[in-house]
Amino acid sequence: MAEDKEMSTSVINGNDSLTGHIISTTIGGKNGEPKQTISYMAERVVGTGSFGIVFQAKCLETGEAVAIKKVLQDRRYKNRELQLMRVMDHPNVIALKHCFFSTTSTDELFLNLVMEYVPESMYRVLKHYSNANQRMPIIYVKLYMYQIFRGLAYIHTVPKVCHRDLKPQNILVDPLTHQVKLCDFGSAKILVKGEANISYICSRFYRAPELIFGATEYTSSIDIWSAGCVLAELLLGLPLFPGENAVDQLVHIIKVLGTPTREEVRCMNPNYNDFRFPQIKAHPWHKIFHKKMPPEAIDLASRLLQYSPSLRCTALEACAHPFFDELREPNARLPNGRPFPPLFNFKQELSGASPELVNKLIPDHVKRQIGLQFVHLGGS
Amino acid sequence: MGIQCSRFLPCCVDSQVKASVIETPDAEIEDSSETSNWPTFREFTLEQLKNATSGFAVENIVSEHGEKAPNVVYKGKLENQIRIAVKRFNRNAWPDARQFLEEARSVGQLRNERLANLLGCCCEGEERLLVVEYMPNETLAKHLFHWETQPMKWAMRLRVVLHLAQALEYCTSKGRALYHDLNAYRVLFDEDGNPRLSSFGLMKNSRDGKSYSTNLAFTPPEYLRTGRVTPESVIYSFGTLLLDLLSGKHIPPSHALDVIRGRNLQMLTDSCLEGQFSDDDGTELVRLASRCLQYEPRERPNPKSLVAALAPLQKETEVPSHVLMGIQHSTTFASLSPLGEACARKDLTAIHEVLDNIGYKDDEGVANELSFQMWTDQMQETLNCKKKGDAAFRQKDFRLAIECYSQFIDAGTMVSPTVYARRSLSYLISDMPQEALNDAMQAQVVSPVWHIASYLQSVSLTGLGMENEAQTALKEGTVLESKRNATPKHK
Repeated sequence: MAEDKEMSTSVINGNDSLTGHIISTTIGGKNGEPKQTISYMAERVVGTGSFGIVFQAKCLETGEAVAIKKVLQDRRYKNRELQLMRVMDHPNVIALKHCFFSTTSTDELFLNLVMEYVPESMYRVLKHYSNANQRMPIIYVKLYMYQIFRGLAYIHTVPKVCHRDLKPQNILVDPLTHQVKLCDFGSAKILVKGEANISYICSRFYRAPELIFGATEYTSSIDIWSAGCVLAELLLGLPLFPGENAVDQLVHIIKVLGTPTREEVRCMNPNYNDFRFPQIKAHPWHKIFHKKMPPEAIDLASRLLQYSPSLRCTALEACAHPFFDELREPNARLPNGRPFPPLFNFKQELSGASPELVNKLIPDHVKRQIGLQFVHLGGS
Repeated sequence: MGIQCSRFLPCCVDSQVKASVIETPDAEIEDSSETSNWPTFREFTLEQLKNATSGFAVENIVSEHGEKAPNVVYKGKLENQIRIAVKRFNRNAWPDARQFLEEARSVGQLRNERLANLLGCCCEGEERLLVVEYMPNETLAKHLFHWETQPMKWAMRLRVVLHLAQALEYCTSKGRALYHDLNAYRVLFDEDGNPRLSSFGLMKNSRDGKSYSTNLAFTPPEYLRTGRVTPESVIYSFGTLLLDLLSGKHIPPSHALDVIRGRNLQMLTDSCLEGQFSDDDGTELVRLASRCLQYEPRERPNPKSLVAALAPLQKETEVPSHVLMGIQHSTTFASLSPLGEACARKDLTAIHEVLDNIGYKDDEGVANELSFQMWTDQMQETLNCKKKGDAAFRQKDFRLAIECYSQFIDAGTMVSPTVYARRSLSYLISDMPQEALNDAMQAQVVSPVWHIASYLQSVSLTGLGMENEAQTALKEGTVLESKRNATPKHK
């Protein structure tokens, strides 16, 4: 899988202005492959940030729409995002198609990451519902959250990457197929046990409490917390913990989960010794959501949003949660009658899972299909 | 009103206690419930409860979130020196006064040493109040989750769950199996550091007698399906308490069950318990928790079998709870201030000297209901009485001091805690401890956190031969005095 992503990068001198500009680059040319020119027409800026800029572009040769993330490249280092993107391959993770370097008139070097283009983000989908004064239908909450967890299960277990900035802006949604893809691996990192990491990552509303407590030995469970916040936001239509600053963020969390116990503080950051919090009782989970909320949704939220990082369930366990059972039913379809995007084509992410978990994750009707395929293949 | 209920109470309370004795397997309960003589349930007037709590003073609030909470709990003291906690409901909690009284009377018949017993209620106008025994040593939530000096020992945790199971067994045997919102805040510790189940959880308003709202963080599954809580729901909550005690964390029960099924006990266990218990003990408690947390209500155990399962697990049964908890028992004191010591020694001369020295500066900030009357002759006369009283007090002419201060107090135009304190001491010196106690109580009504009022109560109580109560009052005075010294600019 990594092989077919192997692409040469070439430096192009580009014009500084973006839109309407055509960028040409070549790929191939190694091992006797024919060289191939690809040209992109920049169309519009779809995102900017401290990292740089993301613009939508069209490949002139194929007509395909792409997103190009252009970041300033420090010549001394390898770009971590590129290294990670190169090895990732999953239906629920944005795919890197190609990359190249470009320079500007001031002789700065830029890295251009060419990725598949997905027109909507979860942030915009949420906004759409809140503008219409509606809540997202629960079937979409299930469909989207399931795919988020599937994406997380893959990045956590196969390349062992922690995203570290999961939020609605970084979750892309295809409005036709309802396929979901995680994007923006600019903060992502392979976390190694026993090695310290910075704690000032992740956007405020979605930041796990151990990060607020300044923990440096956190795990991928910080992404699970963020996913829990996204789940609550899809159910509520509003962020669950809309903190105005780091301390206020903790206050919002305490108002829902209650003051963390001594033991929970120890689990989050063993070096934290300041226990001066007001004693607040936990708010009942069932009172946070509206009355007709399915109990499974409440149960899943309470399992994801726990102070103790090691007690939060894994992404794969979350996929197996009863909240998503509806997606596993044999005749389940989108509300418009079209089929769901692929949900059960698991690969290496199941390798460490228990047989019971695998059994829950692959519905019987899919097992039968796989079985038939095997029979069919065996027979031919 | 008070007569109405006491008419049928004495006889039935007696028989109830005996009935419970037959059922409980624990011999320890038998002894104490037979020797304890709890006051029977009664109705209080709002005036009595106002006096007991110094007019529902903010300083006496013992519930969380202060005045803003929908229901506020105050600590207080009745005229007969019994310490109480008073729950004041918000206006909408019990619109039907009759229903409130019926419920309170019914719960008020329960008497058990595993409960913080309901001593009475008050139902006047829109006011709805409950009066229970005061528990001075905080909640289980505090000792388990937010401990300050030491984490709770395994032996004590086992004792807590046994005592709670016994409390539930008793309530069930008396037909009050529906305990509302059983959680770590509903468990309180008494003078001796023994856990008691709050009676407040036995009373909750419900329109149809079946559906109740609940404030549990993790509700029993049937509640989300039906909106109803049943006696089996209480057992589910007991299961969550078992998890609390084992883990020191708030774990969603459904999740805990998965962890238990995966045999991952290590992940669940409170790190403070390391090395304190064997795997077998832990496994047994976890097994019991999973039975309580069964999805199907009818598969959960009843309180009786909980008691039977928990009794054999007990450890260090000969060690008193306050020792296990590291709580200062009321008979032991850390250190007394010079004034506290003078009170403990009943050194009235020393107390007189202190009172004379501080003059009237502790009256500052006490709200005096002064009117234009102030400048009338009557006012002037009253102030003259006080002046004469002060002179007599200084010269140790206590008979005259009592006479003058009495004139001042009886005129009623001004209220002065200091005058009450001075007359109280004068009575003490004149060997009239009951009168001295009354004045010391009055001083506290006017000035709720004044240490001198507590100290004088202590000396008066000693004079009346009420040694235990005197010790408690002395302790209270010590606490108040040290708090006062911690905030230098005391108003």
